Amino acid sequence: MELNRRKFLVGSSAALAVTQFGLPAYAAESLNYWHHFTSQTEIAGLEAVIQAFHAKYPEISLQHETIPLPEYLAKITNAVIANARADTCMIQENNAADMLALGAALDISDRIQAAGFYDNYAPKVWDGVTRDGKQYAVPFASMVTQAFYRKDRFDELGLTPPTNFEEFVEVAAKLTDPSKDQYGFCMRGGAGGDGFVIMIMQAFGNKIVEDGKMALDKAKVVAALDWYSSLYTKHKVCQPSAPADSFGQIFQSFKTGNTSMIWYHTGATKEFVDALGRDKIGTALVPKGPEAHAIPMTNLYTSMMSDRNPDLAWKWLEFWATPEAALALFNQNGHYPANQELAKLPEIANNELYASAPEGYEKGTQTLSFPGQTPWRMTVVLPEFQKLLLGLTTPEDAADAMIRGLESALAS
Amino acid sequence: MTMTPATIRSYTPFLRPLSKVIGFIEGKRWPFVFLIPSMVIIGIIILFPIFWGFSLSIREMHLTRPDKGQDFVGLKHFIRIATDPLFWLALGNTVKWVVGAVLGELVLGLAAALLLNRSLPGFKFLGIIMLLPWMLPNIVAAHMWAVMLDSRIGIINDILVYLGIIGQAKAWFADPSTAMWTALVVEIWHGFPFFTLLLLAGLQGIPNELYEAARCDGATRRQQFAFVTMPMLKTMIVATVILRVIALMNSPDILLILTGGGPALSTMVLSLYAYQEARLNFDFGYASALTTVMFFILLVFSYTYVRYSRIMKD
Repeated sequence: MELNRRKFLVGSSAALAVTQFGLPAYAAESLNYWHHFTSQTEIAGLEAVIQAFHAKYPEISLQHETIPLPEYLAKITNAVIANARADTCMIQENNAADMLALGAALDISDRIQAAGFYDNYAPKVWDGVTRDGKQYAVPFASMVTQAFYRKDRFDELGLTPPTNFEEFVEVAAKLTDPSKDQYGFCMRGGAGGDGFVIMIMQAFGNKIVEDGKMALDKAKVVAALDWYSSLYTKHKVCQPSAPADSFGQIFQSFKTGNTSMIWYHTGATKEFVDALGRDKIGTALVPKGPEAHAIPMTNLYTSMMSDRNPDLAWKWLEFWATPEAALALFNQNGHYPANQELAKLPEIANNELYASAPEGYEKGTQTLSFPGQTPWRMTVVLPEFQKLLLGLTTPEDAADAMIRGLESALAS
Repeated sequence: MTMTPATIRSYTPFLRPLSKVIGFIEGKRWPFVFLIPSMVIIGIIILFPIFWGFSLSIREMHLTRPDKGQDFVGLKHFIRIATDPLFWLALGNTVKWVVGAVLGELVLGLAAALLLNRSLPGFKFLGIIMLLPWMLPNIVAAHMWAVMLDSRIGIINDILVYLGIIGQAKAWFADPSTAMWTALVVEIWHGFPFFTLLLLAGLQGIPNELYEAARCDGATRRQQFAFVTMPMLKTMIVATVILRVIALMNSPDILLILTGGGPALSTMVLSLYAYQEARLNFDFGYASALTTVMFFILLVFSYTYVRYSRIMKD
């Protein structure tokens, strides 16, 4: 057929008319979600959750965007300042204070109460995102810290997982053989290692912050720092690179057999099993300290960031409290549900690698959450602890610096 | 009859404004009108962000602490800087970092440029190969080296152990005595092609007659280098050094990836400190004060360096 100008114009007009009036436009509702899931298993878990969400709500199109954790708060801050918010976003508990202070999450208390799942979560899980009695996010996972150990090496040496700090040092020493480049404990002394320093302080009876005031007890801080640093300096049961080792290096260290025990949260289970095989991995509660059983637990939440489309956003938030979402995330990534009714699902409750998780969840110590804690941890706690590992300071001086730094952080 | 302001004035009073316009057009200030678009663009693109940054440094701007407000605080942040031990530590580390990297890159870059400034077969290809590190984004280069230097899986440790240079694999970034030096090696590897490229351009601009004249006068190769090459490259060297000092002082990315400022703050430099204050603490007021101080340090350095290198005179 010959196409002349007249035919082209007539055809185009007809096509335009059909698209405008003749056919119903596909009116998919869209939502976006910002998060800081980065590892392969985390992304696979999120995509499984989204797939389940699409199965339930096919009319809603959901786009997710990964923002690496170190950049996450910056991105959220910029978005709030520039009023370029996402519809929904993830909140990790230790960012919650800053994000709520920024006004990055909306009050969804009424919706949560109406949904009827409030009581399925421990009150401490809600505490992270509750201000003045109002809730600002829906919890979906509790990252309960547990002790992962190389079951094959423990069996070979006839060892059982240590239950307290004294046993821990003994077991770590037996697992250490520098001539084979094997060390008992994988210490995180690089970025992120401050969390474990705080855990040890709590195990020695420190409260850190109480009623918004500095609650560190110098004698207890000194004892904690002395014990923890001595694993590297005196007992030499940690990998030599510990002062610089961050997330990537400690995972590599444990996976390659360089170390035989590592403390990490439940979300790492799948990755360790995938790397080493189920029969080589065991889990246990982290050992009990002299004064307390400090088990760091950080919760993950989904919040409504923008009021552009609150009903649609709520569907996504509410979905995280369903068995479909919990199982999708658990199967792909291994995140332990924050919702205790969902944690009773047989797939989760009968999994041996999560045997200690319910106790960890129950005893789990809440993440520090006060504005200014991040710089205190990163510019004071971590460098002072690194100095201790490197013999550049004493536990007393490091404790003084940490106490001064915390007072200053709380006052500023 | 020629229309001058005087003749217009003599015709009628209501044309006086026009006479002023014509007077301005015929005056000496007229050419400056043509500069207005450029000045506006410079003002918007260059001056406004700089002055905005300066203005932040004298205000409270702590994004996660809206309760503190955004009031004018005068020199509060600068007084805090003067008594901040981390600032002085970072300043010392910055000097080590910048001086070490610029010297290393200049020497290596000059050597590579001299090598490539020969018309030998394969040298063009070699030139491209030498530029490859510069083409890699800082983040990629840093991650790549972090893996290569890892004490468990890094190939560099394997090679050094195999050659018997070290007894066992070393965690280079876990020891304050080696962390800065190791990071410098990475930076020098990444940055030397910048000097190579520009110095090679400078070398190729030196007239061959100068070398011929020097040879006629009996100059050795070393003398030709000292009395022809270096003086002719002087302007280029000064310019490249200034550009590189500014880049090194302002970008924290390589150290951010390799060491994060650790261990025990041994590699904390000013740019990284300002970055952390802005991006982790969200204290843009203090971070801006830090960058303002850096700006003036660079300004003083550049002025002094150019003045004492006498390139403007030459």
